[in-house]
Amino acid sequence: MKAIRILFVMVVLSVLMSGCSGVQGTANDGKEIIQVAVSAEVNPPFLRNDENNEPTGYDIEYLKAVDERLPQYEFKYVWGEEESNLIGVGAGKFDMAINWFFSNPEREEKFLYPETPYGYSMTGLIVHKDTNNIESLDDMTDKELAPVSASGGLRSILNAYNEQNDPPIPLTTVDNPSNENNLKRVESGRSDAVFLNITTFEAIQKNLQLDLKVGGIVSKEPVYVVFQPDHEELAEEINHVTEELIEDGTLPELAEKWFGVNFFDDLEDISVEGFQYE
Amino acid sequence: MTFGLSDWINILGQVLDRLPLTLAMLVVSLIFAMLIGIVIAFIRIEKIPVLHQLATVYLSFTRSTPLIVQLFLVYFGIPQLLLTFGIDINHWSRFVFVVITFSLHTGAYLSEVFRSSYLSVGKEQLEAAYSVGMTYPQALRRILIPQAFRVALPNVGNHTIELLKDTALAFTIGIIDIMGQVKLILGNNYGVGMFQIYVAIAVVYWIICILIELVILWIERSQRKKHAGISN
Repeated sequence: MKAIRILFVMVVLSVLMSGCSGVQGTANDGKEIIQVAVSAEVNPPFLRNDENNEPTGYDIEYLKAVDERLPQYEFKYVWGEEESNLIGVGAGKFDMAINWFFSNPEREEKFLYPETPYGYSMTGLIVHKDTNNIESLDDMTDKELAPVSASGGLRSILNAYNEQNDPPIPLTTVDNPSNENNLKRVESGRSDAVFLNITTFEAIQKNLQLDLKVGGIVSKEPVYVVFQPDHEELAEEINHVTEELIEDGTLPELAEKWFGVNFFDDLEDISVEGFQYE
Repeated sequence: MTFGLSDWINILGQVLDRLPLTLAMLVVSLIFAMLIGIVIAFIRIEKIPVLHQLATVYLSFTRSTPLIVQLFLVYFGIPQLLLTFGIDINHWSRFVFVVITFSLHTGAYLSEVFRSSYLSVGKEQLEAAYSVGMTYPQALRRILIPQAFRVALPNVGNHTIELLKDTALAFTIGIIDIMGQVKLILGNNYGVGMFQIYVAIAVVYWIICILIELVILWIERSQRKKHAGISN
């Protein structure tokens, strides 16, 4: 009986303490705390976790640079799955969310997008080394594309293509497609191409060394932070700082550091530099 | 990427690092779920007016909606609702929100477990207790609960295991439990080594479940000793 009582007290205390640890309110040394939802579907080099499970990557270093120039705010990073983060931004739980969000009409209706993207994501078709007839999405209408997720940025590019073009690209939808499996499908010839972010492919290729190459770059998608709809002032301020950071070379430098390529350059320049793997 | 022994140890190490958090969610939620279960079962057995109807609605709702929906309602909905009354609980730790959700969810199931096990003991036992002059609390403590407890135990074990697996949902709102750690590892590798990592996490869950089953078995055995009868 005594053991139960001690256990009970411990539980109550732990709940109270965990409840209190969060009580930082809005004002901490006079700064306004901005809750930034960070997607738990990490996607290096944009976003990953370090040994202590703290977020890091291009996204976070960008935000830290922004935070430095806005002394009135203090950014606080909160992990959460993307879907839940977006709900949270809509519900006012978070002030903004980051993880290479592409812009699409449905999202623009729900959230506040800044004008200036903080980076770009290059999407492309990954094909077998010996395939030479796939360079753009137009080449995919009679080919087999490896399975794609039902939502997300890559899917919205494909959906947009299929709405505007006839014949459409035949799509196989799965929940959480594995990039590794998809790439191996292409290598073994079961699929003709994978639609992927070039940086993602580059990093996997480092590990796996598959017989694959980039068939063609499809697009250079701007990526944005998304804001809670009524945070116009905050969005404006961060937008302004982002422009400054691009102009003074801070962000291009970060891009070089994390991606090895300055994606603020024009798409043509980057393509020529080449993402061709030996 | 080939998987050597050191990779396995590294992955297991990272996952086991989050184990205390998973167990904390499990234990704290379970304790509150039991309290909720007992209260709801009592209300439904005694058919207390108003409360009885409310409890029925709560049971029906909790058992008919997916847990993830409930988690979102508690994590995003309740703070929003309270905010309209001027109460701001958005800064509460996320641990509190998952414990509330899991307690309410499992509590609903446990209340039915408790209710059915109480009813399984039978009215004649209570009447027998009255006939030897016991009061209701006495009968409850000495006759009904010990017997109902034995009936309830296997089902409580079931729901504990169910709850353990449900805690994986906590990662949806960013609590990095053992499943969350697995997803982070996979994300950092772009899904490379998915199969090996899922094998590792499956083994971890399995072992915890076996331990839970052993605890239940042990309690069951120690109860049986007190119930020495002629036929068993």
